[in-house]
Amino acid sequence: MAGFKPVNPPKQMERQPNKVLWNLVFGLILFVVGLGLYKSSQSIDYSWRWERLPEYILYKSDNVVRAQFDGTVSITADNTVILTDDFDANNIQQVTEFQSSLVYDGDLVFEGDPLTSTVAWKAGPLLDGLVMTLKLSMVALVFALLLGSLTGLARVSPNPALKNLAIVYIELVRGTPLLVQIFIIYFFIGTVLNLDRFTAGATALAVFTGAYIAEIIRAGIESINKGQMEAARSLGMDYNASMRYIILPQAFKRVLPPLAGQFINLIKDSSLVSVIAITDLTKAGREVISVTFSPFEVWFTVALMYLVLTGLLSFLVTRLEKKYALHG
Amino acid sequence: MPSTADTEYIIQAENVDKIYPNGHHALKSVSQNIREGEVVAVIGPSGSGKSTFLRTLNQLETINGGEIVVDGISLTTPGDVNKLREEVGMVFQSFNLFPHMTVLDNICLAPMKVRGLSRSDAESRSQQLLQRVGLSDKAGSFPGQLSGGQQQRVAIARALAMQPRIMLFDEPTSALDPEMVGEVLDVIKSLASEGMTMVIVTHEMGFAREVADRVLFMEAGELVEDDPPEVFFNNPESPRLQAFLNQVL
Repeated sequence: MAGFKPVNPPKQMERQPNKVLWNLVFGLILFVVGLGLYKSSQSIDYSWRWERLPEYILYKSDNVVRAQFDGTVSITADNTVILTDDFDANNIQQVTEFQSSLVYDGDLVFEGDPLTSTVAWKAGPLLDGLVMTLKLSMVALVFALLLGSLTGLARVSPNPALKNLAIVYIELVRGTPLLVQIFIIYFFIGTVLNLDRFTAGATALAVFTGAYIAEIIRAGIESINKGQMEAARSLGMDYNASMRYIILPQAFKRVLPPLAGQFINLIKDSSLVSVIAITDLTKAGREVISVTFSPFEVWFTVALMYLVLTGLLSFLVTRLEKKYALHG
Repeated sequence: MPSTADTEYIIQAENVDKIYPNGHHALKSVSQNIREGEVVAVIGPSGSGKSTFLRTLNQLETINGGEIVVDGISLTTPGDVNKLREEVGMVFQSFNLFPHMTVLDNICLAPMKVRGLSRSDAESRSQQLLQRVGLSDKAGSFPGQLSGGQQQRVAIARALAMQPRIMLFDEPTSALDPEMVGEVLDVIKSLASEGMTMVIVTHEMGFAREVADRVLFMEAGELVEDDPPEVFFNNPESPRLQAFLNQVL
């Protein structure tokens, strides 16, 4: 901040905690917990193999192009490997864009011999899972926000049909476990409407989160001073216009923090869709364990990857909050 | 402006009853007729129903008995309540400015959305009104950046932007620091001198005496006294008003 000068600590009667001391205590507690974890990991009969994990996140793949038939190789000036069939000059295999050539000009090669190789980074199953979790969460988030906002508005509407529909929806969804909802949507509704896994999973998450968002939106609307609606109505604006221009913009700012919490919940809840065989981060973790037999390392890694996603979301929402916190 | 003698009543309230859902009987058979251009002050102890009566006039409160006709519109007949409110401006005790909008947008919003004015027309009207309440330099400010007196003047400008025929004031200075009361009352006085029909619920006795054509006294939901200010303050008839005036003056 420009022009900000450090000031002396305030003079007051009440004793304040010693900042330095208690920060040290905090550090000490973290250290002791970390040490305890380390010691207990040593004491159990488990061989830690962290070095195996990175390749399941990102790995280098060697993409080798092989000869499709017997023939003679020629390499042109612009670095193209051309394989010509010795018995049929029209039969040609061309390879461009490679990193290293494994043959020389004039070489005689047989079908299946390597011609060129290209080494590239590829996403491992864990990263693929993370991307799937992100995709699923974002799609569900957009629809949950839409559904939640409409339901929240219906919940405070004077129209009994809208209000009661909203109440029934909210109570049904909040009163049943997400896991059960996922099964119902995938096996029942999914069968009726012929939904694929992803659509069913995203729908279940959106429907579940939408109910919570609706309650958040309702609370936000009801938290706005009654005088705001009265002022808008006294100017001759109808209910809808008053909502749209006066109440909702103010409510939106107020519900950002609880909405952020709900979005974070959504990302975490998305781990449950692995039960309908969507390869999200959690299911990818289980698959990697079945290959590596290193469950501890994998689950710690999976947890960290979820933490990165939710941390990023928290950060974005905090920035949004600051942007809108300026007035009112 | 036609003389008061042959003007129709712009506000007619007859035997108005208001009972809140919790059983509180807030208005007991209140009748009152107000002519165009008249300034009527309503005085009374808190809880006497004076604010409730004011709020029934633009149907922020519904009534349970009697009849109210404002500017030819019957408030007990089904119809478009917004048409009524377009003609009746209201100023609140707690200002109720829209905190997420600039002062200019606060004033422009209703004329644009309700009257269908273009933004430039609404803005020039708003600028004129801001000038009139002495706040031309605050157009771009947010309500939170203004003092209470300034906010209330913006609220008056906001109500005036709809060009209402009647203005209702619900204790417009009660939430203000003492040094800011004057600036708000001055704006209301200038409105009175221009012939605006106004109903003002207030605790400012001096102001009521100076600006009002008639002063009403309400107590316990009843309209107890209805006099010109000289009579009201000097020779009050009802013993209840006498007791009230003795306490506050």
